Amino acid sequence: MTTINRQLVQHVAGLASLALSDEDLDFYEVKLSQIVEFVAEISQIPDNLGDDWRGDIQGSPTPERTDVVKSSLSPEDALASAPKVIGTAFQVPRIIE
Amino acid sequence: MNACEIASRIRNGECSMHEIAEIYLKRSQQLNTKLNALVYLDPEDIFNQVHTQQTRLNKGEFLPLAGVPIAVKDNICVKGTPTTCASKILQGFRPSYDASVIQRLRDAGAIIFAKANCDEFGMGSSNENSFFGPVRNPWDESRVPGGSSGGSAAAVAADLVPIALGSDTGGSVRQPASYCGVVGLKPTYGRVSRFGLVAYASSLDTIGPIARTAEDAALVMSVIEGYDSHDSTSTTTDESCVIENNLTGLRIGLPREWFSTGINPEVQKSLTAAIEVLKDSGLTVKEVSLPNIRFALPAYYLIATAEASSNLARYDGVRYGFRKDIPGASLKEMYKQTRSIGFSREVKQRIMLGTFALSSGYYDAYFARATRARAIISKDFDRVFDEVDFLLSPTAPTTAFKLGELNTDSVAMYLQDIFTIAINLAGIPGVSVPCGFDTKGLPIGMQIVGPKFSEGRLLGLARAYQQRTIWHERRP
Repeated sequence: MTTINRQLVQHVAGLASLALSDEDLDFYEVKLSQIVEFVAEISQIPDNLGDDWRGDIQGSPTPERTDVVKSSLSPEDALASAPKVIGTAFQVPRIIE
Repeated sequence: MNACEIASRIRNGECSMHEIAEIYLKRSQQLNTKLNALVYLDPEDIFNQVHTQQTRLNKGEFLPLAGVPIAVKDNICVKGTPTTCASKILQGFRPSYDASVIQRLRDAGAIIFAKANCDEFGMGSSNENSFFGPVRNPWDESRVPGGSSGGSAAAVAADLVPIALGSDTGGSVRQPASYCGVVGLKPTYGRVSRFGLVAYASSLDTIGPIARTAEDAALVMSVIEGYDSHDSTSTTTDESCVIENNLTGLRIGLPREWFSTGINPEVQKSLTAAIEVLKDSGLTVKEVSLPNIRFALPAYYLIATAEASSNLARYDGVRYGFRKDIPGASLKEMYKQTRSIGFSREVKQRIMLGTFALSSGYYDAYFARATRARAIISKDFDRVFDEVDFLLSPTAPTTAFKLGELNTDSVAMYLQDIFTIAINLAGIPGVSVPCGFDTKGLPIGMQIVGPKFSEGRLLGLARAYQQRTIWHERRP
């Protein structure tokens, strides 16, 4: 049984690009512990699929279409809802120190 | 009036699109203040659409949804109209294109009337998790309408619109339809294009109609279904959603595992009565087994949250919506602050659960096992549909609960979807149909489930049931 502790919550939040306060860490430690305990039941399912079963190749084949070049969004449309724009680009904080 | 009747009357010249739009606009403006079901409504845009569609009709075009006002869940893109998924993080986002379903509705003469409130990104079962505040159930305003398509269901129940679109990832069309006393259809996965539906869990998401009658739901389905090259998971099938009339001899299965789950006695009583109505209609009923169904809820919450953690990674304050700028902060810090402020607690909780399930050291025990469970549960459905034509269950174990009642208990909230979630895992269709009221006057819904592409039959059965009952005729 997996134990959800504060360090694990902090690690997962980092992977998910979330900044959590101390209060948030306490909250999610409790919440995620409850949910992980609940979903851990999944380990008990009788599984006769075989070792070579793979989820990524199941289901209907993906329909194919001809590879035809089509017009896409104009730069103006693509930038229309951006919080910050410079010319024809999205503006972000400096990424080179 | 239902949607079929509105379209027919407009086509016959018995009323104009303008008159219909005015009636629904007046009603929406009167009632929405209390219900909070609609989050965006622009009268000028509505009457511009009316003018365009009436001109097409006057030129002799056949419009199956002529002048029918439709509310659209706020996670479906409508060109130039705010589309926020009820989240702060998409505040100010106006899509530059219509979702394929919206384009098809416009082509069929519908009026895109309003955007409907919902749980943020479709994550919730009560519509309390919305940046716009909770939706109230028209049958009892102290109660939830269900979720996540709570605004869509409440809007139809209160007659703010005759039909609405919702999205269903784990029950989000059917469960609110049940709580609000209307019909809600979750189609076969891939039958309705997801292009322009903001992704929550891509392998589970479906768009479906909410209506008063099975006939109206079938009318909307016949317009929005079909292959779309913009959606790589769109299915190609020659079958169209034509409502079936001949139901004689069809077999209904009652999964014993569902009926041994904690169903509220009043819900159980209504289901028993509904089963008798179906028997009287010439259907046979037998008990069947879905032996692994208890693993559906954990499998769903692992798969859905894993996919959500990936899909919602795109919200970083760069390309659209909300951004939290802090002077001197790095790009990574801007991402973190934007996401931490822009997402609600519930959404962050699901993102973290999904990230955990996919992370190194936990992937095999959680996500990989959930995908195997999904395949096992799907095989159970395949096997059971060799024995029977449909499955029947309550849509939800209870009627609508009080606002705030389940807010602090995530697992109890997730259990509201216990009968609906497995249907999404298997990719099969299901419909919720009103089948009674409890002693508090709250609607009860029954869920009918069929094999892939059986929507015509499902809605045929739902219509046959509605022709023999009057539950759908009651108004809040």
